[in-house]
Amino acid sequence: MLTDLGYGALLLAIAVSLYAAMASFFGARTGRGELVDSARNGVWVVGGLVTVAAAALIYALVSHDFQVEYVAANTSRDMPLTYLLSAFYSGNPGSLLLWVWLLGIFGMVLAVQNRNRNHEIMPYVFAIIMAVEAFFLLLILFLANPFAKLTFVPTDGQGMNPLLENPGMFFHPPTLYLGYVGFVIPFAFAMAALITGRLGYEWIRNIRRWTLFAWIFLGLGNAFGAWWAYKVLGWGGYWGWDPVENASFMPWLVGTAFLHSIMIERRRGMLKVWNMVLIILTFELVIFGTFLTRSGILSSVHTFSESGMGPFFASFILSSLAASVGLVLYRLKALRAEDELDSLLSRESSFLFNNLILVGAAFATFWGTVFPLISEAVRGVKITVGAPFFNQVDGPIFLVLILVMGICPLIGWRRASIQNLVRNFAFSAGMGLILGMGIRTLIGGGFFAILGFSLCGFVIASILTEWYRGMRARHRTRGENYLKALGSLVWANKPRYGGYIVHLSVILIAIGVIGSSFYNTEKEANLANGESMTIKQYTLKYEGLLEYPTESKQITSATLAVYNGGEFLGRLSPQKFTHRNHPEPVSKVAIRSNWREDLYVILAGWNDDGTASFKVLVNPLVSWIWIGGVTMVVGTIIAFWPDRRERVWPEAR
Amino acid sequence: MAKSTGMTTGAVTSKKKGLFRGRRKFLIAGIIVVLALGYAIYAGFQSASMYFLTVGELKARGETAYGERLRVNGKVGPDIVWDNQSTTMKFNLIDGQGESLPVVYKGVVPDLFKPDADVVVEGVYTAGGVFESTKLLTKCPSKFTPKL
Repeated sequence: MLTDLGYGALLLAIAVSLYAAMASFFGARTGRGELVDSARNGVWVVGGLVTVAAAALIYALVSHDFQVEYVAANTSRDMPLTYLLSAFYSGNPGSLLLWVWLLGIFGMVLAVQNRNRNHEIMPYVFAIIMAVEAFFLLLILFLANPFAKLTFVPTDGQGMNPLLENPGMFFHPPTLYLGYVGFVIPFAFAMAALITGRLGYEWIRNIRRWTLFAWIFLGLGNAFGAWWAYKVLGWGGYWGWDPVENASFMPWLVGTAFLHSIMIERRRGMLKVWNMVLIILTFELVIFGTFLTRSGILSSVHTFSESGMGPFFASFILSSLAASVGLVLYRLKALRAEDELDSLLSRESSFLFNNLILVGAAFATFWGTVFPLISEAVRGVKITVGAPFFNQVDGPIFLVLILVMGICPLIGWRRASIQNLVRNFAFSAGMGLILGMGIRTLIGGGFFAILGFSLCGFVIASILTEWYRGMRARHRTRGENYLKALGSLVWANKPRYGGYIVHLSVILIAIGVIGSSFYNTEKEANLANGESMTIKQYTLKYEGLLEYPTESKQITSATLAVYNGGEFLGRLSPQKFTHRNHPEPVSKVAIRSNWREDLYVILAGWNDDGTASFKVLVNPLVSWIWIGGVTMVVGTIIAFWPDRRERVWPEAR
Repeated sequence: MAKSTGMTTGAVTSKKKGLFRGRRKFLIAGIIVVLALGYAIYAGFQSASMYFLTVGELKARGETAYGERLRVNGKVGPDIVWDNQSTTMKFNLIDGQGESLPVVYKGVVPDLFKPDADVVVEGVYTAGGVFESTKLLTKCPSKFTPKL
């Protein structure tokens, strides 16, 4: 019953979104206010309808309505409520419904935010949002209906893929989709600005928060994905340059470039075409990423024709790309820069280089990801590149990016004097060098590791010096104590200092990545009961195997006592379990984590003679990555925080 | 790299008369960055690209494929032999045309590995006709695969 309601709501939503898209566009073109008004009501109706559909699916999932194919395929009676809820987006149809639901909600939020402003551009913004919404609704109804029914009612469902029953997978899809869908909003504003020719500060002012919002959630989505892979997939790493990972990483890279270069447009009225290109690219990469995760075109040689979604996505990407690029060309004259860059040695140009590097990293990643398809189309052979390619190409690119991140706060806007730069540079570079050399002497390491750590030290020193200078100035001029001076400094320039916190977070993550990629140790061993193995300072003693059933699983758990030298640290229990409905076993790695390193133990297998084989890794500094993710959110929230001065913005800064 | 060129020329140009020169300066710096990127991608491909073949395609290449690092895609055959001592596993990789390739894999076996699973093996095709693999990829579970 309710599922029919959900399906009906989706059918209606298609009709209304198509109507709203057209009415909004033509109403605004012809100046017919009543059409525009009815289209805006349409945005509310679509938002309501997709919410009804989402509620119907949630109800079906929670109430175990196994006649619904999606519910039967993704849930079972023994699943806890949290995973019943996450089943909403653990399959293709449900995740597409999440897409349209979020976009529907964002549409309503925009309608509220802009009820008394932006009358000229909002109709076009809504038209674009509704057009995107209609496309995804069409996909759902034709190719991935979450409300499709079985001809019979199974007594129980198949349950979720056990690998997805993990907190990481509870948070990964929604955060990622908040990011994906969030980037539709700046894109819609950009297109509306192009259509109306209102290419001043207006559209950029309107999208700053939306862009920040989309950017942090896309980043978080990636981080949760990495966290999940690390905890669940059991190969010891968090990032494997798999096509699905690249799919969500590329829009984040280009989105990061966009986030930076709109600041230049805001301050100086430059880079207008470039910004349009970046937001168009981000949008298309978002759509491409949504497609990649559900196509399988890159994972195997033979699945290209298997997915019926290919033609849909291809035509949507090509037509939206053609339309948006056409609009940019049409407005090319109006997009001319109002100002010139003065000097290579300015903060503007450091932003410009950061842009080039980020887009370059995205391009390299894109090329590596789709190369199998291209080579097959052009030469008839599939040539693929593995993780080494991405490490080798993207690794150095990111090191340069870190360097730019450190130089940026050292140089002023417009034009910096060389003496000034050299003086500022010398201290931070010296600190970086000392750090690198210190690590080299105390711990050792190869060229890239030491270079990486030195650059990280350089950035931290350069950012902290900038903070210290501001703090000292405030302490002197206003007599505030240092702590208060620091607080009010950050509070008075939230976007800027929030940004610096984000940069420091990136460095924390970089330190974690460098540490865990260059200093990791791994060892495999087959142990009999009572036998031990040693890896670095740890000794692991195998104490036997436990086998027991739980409500839905059959678990095999190995117990290992962990010693640091002679000191007993605790026990680890790496497991393998089989879920009742899924024959393939799932590993549960055991991780002992502290700020220095992770001891990561995988139970690889066991034998009838009582021996068990383990793969053990020591991954240094991994927890810095997760900490960096948290501080990045903090920095973004500070940058996001409402500011009194925004009303007179942009002149105020 | 781009930065060092900037330091030598950056202070010389004045705003008005340097309109053209200023642009050229940025153009040169930009081109250096783009060229460096292009070279990095090219070098990456030279050292890290490999053929991605089906079992049948590999067989068709025969001896010419010996010794080269490759990826081969196929389904896991019904017989799997696992040696716990050396943590090696022997199985056959089968494609749709019934071609079969013996594979020796050393390493931790992914959870989704089982007979009939779609896998990709990475390694070297040796003169004995055996594929020696050190990397085994199963289909990523985060892809949405239709069930039922």
